[in-house]
Amino acid sequence: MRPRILIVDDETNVRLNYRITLEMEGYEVTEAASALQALHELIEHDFSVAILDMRLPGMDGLALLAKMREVGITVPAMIVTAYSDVPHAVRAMKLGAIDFLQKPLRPEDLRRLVAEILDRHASRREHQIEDFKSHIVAAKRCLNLRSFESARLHLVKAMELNTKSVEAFNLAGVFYEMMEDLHKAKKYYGQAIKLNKNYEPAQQNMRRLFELEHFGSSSEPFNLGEG
Amino acid sequence: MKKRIFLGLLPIIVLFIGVGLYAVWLFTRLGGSIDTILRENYQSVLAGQEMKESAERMDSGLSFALAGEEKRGHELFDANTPLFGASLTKELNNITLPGEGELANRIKESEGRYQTLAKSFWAATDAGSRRDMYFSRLLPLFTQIKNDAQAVIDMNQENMVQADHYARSLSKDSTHAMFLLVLAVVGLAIFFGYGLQRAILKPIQTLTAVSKELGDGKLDQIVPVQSKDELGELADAFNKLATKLRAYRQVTTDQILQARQMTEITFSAFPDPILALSLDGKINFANSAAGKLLQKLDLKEGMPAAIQDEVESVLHGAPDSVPTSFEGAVPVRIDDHEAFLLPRVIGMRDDSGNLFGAAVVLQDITRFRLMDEVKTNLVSTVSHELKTPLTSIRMGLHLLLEEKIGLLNAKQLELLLAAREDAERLLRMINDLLDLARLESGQMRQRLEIISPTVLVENILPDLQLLVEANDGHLTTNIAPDLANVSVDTRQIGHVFSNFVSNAARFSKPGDDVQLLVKAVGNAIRFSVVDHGPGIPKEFQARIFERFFRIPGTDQVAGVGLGLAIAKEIVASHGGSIGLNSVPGEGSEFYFDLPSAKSDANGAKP
Repeated sequence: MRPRILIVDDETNVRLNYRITLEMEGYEVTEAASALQALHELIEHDFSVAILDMRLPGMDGLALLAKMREVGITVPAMIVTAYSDVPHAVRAMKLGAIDFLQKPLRPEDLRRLVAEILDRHASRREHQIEDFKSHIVAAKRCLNLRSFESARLHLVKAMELNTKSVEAFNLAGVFYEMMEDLHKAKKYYGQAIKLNKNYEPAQQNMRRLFELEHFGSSSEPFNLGEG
Repeated sequence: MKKRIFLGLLPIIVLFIGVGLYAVWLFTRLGGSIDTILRENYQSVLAGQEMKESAERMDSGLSFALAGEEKRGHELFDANTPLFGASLTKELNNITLPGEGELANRIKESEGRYQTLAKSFWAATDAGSRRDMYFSRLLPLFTQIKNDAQAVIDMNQENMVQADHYARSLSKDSTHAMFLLVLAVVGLAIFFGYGLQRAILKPIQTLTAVSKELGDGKLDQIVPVQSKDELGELADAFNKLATKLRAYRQVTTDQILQARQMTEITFSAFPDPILALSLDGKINFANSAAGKLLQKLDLKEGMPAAIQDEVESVLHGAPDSVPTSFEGAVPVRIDDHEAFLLPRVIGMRDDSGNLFGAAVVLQDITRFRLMDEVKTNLVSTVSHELKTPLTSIRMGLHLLLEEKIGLLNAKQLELLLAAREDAERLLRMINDLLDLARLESGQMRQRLEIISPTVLVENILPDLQLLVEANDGHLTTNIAPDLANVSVDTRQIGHVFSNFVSNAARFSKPGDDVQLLVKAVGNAIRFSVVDHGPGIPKEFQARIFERFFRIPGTDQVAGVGLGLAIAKEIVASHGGSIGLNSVPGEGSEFYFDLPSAKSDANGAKP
C-alpha cells in the first residue's frame, strides 16, 4: 500500500507543488484547502503523514493539530511555517509535531522530511532495536506520538550507545523543552554545542530558548537535526 | 563742609585767642606794675634822702654859727635851703602811698616854721638867745623833719619790698592759672575736635552703610540728607543714583518679565512638554503641555522615573542626551493610552561653561511610532503576501529543473534557470526588506555577547573565505594584538562582514585578494574590508548606505541595494558607526567601528 499523505494549505498552487513533488515519489496525496476539510479527510481515511501549513484561514494549523489530537487522530504531523510563525511552533511541538519546514522550501527538503517521518514510523514494526540510529529514530517517533516515557527510554539507550552524539543531546534538549523543563533542555543543548560548536540545530535551539527566556518570543524554529 | 569744619574749629580758635590775650595782659600787668612801683617809690626814697641830707646841712650851718663860724654857717644854711625845697617839691609831686601826703605836708609845714625860726636866729646877734633858740626850738624841729623824711624813705622802701612780694606771688598765681587754663583749653579742644570728627564722619558712615545695602540689592534705601554741604550733596547724589537704579531695575525687570512671558507663551504654544530644571533637579519651568503631562502622570515633583536617570547624568555633567532614533522612547500611560515620549536632555550652561540646569523636551512620538509601525507592518505584510506566490513559483521552477518530471531541452533549461535566478533574487529582496523592517522597528532581537575581535573574526573567517575564493581570490587578515572586547550579536555582525566581503569580492577583478583589518581607533574597534576594485565615485560615497541605492551602471543582477542599508542598521543598533574610504580606480575600504565593551557589561542584554 502506498503511503497516504494529506496536504493542508489554502494556496492552490502551493498544494499543486507539494502534490507533484510527493506524487513523483509514489505517494498517494490528498489535498485540503481548510482545516475543516482536512478534519473530514482525516476522519474518512488513514494517513501516514499530515502536512499542515501554520497559517490557514479560520481554524489555523495549530488549532487543527489540537483538534486532531483531541479526537484521537495520532497521525504524525509536519508543520510548514513562515519565518514569523515560529512562537506557535513550541505549542505544536507539545502536540507531537516535532518536524518543521520553513518557507520557502525546496522540493528536496519536502521529500527528505516526508521520507524521514515515514521511515521513522515504519521502523516501529521492527522488534529488535539495537543500534544508536534506530533509538534516535524511535525516540522521535515516540515524541510524534507523545509517548514521552518511551521517547525518554530510547534517548537513554541512544546516549548509552553513543556518548558523544550531538544529535542525541540535541534531541534530549527538545524532549525536555516539550516537558517544559527549560533548565534541563538548556543543559542538553549546551552539551551538544560543547561537543560541536558548529552544530547548527543545537545552536538554533539554544538561541530560541535564550530568546524565549528574554523576550518571550522567538523566530527560531525547532531543529531536530538530520535523521 | 568748609563751614562745618570752620564752625567746629571756631571754639578752639577762640579759646586759644582768649588764652593768648590773657597771657599778654598778665605779663603786661606783671611787668608794668613793678616798674611803676619801683620807679615812684625810688623817687620818693631819693627825695627823702635829699631832704634828710639838706636838713642836716642846714642844721650843721646853724651849729657852725653857734660855734662862731657865723659866715660859713650861714652860707651852708643858705646853700641847702633851696635843695631842701626842691627835694620837698619833688616829694610832694610824687605822693603814691597812703599817709605819704600827710607826712610830706607835715614836713612842708615844719620846714616853713623851721625857716621862720632860722630867720629869727640869724637876726639875733647875741650868742645866748641864739643858743636858746637853737636848742629849744630849732633842733627839735630839725629832728622831727629828719624823722619825717626818714619815715617817707621807710614807707617807700617798705612799699618796694611789698611790691616785690606781690610781683612774686602774682607771677606764681599766673603760672598756675595759665597751667589750668591751658589744660582746660586742651580739654575743650579735644571735646570740640571729637564733636567735629563725629559731625563729619557720621554722614559718611551712614552713606557707607547704605551703599553696602544698595550693593546687596536693597534699592529702596534712602540716605537722609541732613545738611546742605558737600556731604549733603553726596547724599543727595546717592539718593538720585538709587532712584535711577530703581527705575533701571524696574525697566530691566519689566524686560525680563516680558522676555519670560514671550518664552512662556512660545513654549506653551509648543505641543511637546518642555521643562527647565535647576541643578538640584527641581522644575523651574514647565510649559502647559508639560504641566498637563505631569498632572496626568500624577507627578507633583520630578520627572517620570524612566527619564530621571538621564536627567541626573546630564545634571552631573554628562553630555547632552539627544536621541537620534526612536529607540530611547519612554512608554508612559496617559488617559489609559500608551504614549511614547522621546526625551531630549540638554544641559544649560552660562557663558563660562558652568552648568546651571537642564532643559528637557519630551517629544511625543506616539504618532510617529504608530506611523512607523504601520509602515513596518505594511512592508512586512506586503512582503509576506509577495512571498507566498513567490515560494510557489520558486518551488515549481525547482521541480521542473530537477528534470524528474521530464527532461528539458536547452532553451527550456536556459529560460527556467533565468526564471529561477530572478525568483531567488526576488526572494532575497523580500527577505532583505523584512530584515530591514525588523531592524528598524527594533523587532530584530539582539543576543549580545562579549567577544574578542580576534575570536569574532576567526569564527566567521571560513565563511568569508569562501566568498572571496568564489572569485578565485584570497582573504587576508591583519588583526592588531591586544584589542578590547566588543559586545555584539555575532550573527548580525557576521551578516555585516559577509555583506562587506561579498561586495569586495564581487567588485574585485577575478583573482584579487581582499583584506580584512581590525584595529583600535580611539575607544572603538574598527573592522575594515579593503578591496582593489574600481572604488566608489566621490559623488556616490555619501549615498552608498541608502536603501535601494545602486551606483548607476553596476551589475543589476548582483544585488538589490539593501545590503549596505541593512549593515548600517545593524551597526547602528550596536551603537557603532559605518563608513567608507574609497579612491576611484584604486579600491575601497568599507569599515564599521564598534564601541569597546565595558568590562562590567554582561553577555546578555535585552
